[in-house]
Amino acid sequence: MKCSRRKINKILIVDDSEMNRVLLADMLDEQYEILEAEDGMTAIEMLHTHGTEISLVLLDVVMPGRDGFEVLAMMNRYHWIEEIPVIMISAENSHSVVKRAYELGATDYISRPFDEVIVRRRVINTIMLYSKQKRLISMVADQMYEREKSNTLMVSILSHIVEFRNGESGLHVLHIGTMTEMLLKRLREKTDDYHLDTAKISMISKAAAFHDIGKIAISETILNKPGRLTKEEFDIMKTHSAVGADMLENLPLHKEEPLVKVAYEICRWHHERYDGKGYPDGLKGEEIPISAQVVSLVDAYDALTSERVYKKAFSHEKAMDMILHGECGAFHPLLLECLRDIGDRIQEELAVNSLNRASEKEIHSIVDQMLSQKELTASNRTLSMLEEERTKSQFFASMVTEIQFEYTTVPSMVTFSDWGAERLGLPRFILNPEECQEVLSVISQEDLEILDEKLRSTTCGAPEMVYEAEVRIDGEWRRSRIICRSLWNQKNRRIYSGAIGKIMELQER
Amino acid sequence: MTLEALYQEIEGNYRSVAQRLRTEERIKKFVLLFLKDSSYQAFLEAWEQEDGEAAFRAVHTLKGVCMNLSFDSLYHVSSEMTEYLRVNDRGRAAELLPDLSACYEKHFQAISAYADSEQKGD
Repeated sequence: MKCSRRKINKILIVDDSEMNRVLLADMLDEQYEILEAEDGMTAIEMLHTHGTEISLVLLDVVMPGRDGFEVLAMMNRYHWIEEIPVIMISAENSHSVVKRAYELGATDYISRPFDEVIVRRRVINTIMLYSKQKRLISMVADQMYEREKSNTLMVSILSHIVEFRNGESGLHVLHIGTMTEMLLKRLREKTDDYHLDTAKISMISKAAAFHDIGKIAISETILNKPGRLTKEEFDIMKTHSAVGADMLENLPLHKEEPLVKVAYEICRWHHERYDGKGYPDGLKGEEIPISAQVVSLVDAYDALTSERVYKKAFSHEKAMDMILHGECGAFHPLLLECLRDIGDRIQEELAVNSLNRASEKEIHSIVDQMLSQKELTASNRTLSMLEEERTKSQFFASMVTEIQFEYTTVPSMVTFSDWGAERLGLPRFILNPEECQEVLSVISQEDLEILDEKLRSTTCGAPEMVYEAEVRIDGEWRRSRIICRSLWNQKNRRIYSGAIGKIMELQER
Repeated sequence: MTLEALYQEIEGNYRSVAQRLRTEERIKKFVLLFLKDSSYQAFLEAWEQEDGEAAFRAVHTLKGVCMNLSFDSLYHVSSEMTEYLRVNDRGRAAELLPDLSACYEKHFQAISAYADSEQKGD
């Protein structure tokens, strides 16, 4: 193997016996860079530090402190096990031990005594298998990416044609998509009533592009008339929502596709009003699908803030004000609340998401989502992004002279920044901090409990929290402010998964 | 003294270790490292302090080391000790202790003598 000569693969050997580590290292160090850990905790620290730079872990079972099973459990917790293969190396050959190791995700089991040929071969096989799998995932991802890209391209050409005829700005559709996504994400944080998962949000945001396709059936003289429309003209104009929906309903193929169904809802009902005074069907309240409700609100905002043949553009502030005061239609109060919540970010997001970047971003997220739906592990692209993020945050954390920490609930573990660990006189990684005497020597049990309780009573929508307590910094008890932000489970946003934060001394020294 | 003769003296399996570790140089390196391995001392300390769990772990490590070096006689006795300590049978472990100590001492002395002869030979 060409690459192995450059020793790009790192292998972590975890064994409490130095002799065993040296023996394995001796068999493998010609081809691989070897990292050694003499117990489970050190292994976990190394996995934290090196992440997926480690190509393989050779793991002993019986060790003092954290044993091999605990390392495996931790690797599951952090999803390392999906990317980093583990080969167990143990003098334990009892069936139950081997079985448990496999159940916890170990790839292979090498019994003692070690045989050089077998150790090498199994290590090579496992590393090759994993890198092959990663390559395949990345190939699939690339193909899906290409396919999504042309899909998105078609959608954007089609909707641009519609807009071109309307004399609307080319960015209109893009803005609608971006804002729809923002609103839906905010809505999901507030309620589970609409069963909005990432896939559904993405589909609605994409289908939003079709909301005005019915306008191609409206004559240009009406569409682009500079003055006020007469009653008759407005009646014609109003047909665009039903016409667009009919076009989708009469598609010879694909009309059963979820995307088309959502697009149908949006086309037909994006001019309905929450009070029942809209058109074409006069639906009221929750009779209007949430997709259409959101697009309707977003469309109102975009219409206000854009220049049209018959009006100038209003400022963001004025537009928000008019919508929130009910001057531009009737909307679900909860949606108005969401609009208010994202208010400050709208302009920023719309400006940042230039045409190219937005669609690229969207495609990436769709592809990643499709991959995860197909129960494949994250793509290489995602992996390398994560890797990059990890390197970045480690780099910055090593430079700041602040006591920063990260806490995870399962397993209960706290990680301090280099500087933080030094000033508190604590190790960088601490398992079960609530029971750790060292931790209790820098903060009282009572404060720790209050802190924990306060963090757990924050919400996903309002995760920040500040608490003041005595903390022993540089060996002295100091009045300090602890600023935290709780973290919530990505899948179920009601599950508290940990916190990040920093500790600041209140008085100058 | 040759490695093979050493293995004969301590009732190890030279053929097996040669097959697995492949070079004489490597076998020699690890046989000599045995003198520095602390698992037996750790076992004795834990035994005296009546810390069953730590004694189990230490003798378990010793067993693994012997297995890798094909020190068959010491492997057998440390393996037996591991199983007694696994189920916390201190009585039978105590009966076995003299055998384990004798076997370990025999290995230690033979390997020390081998190390000396190697040094003189250089």
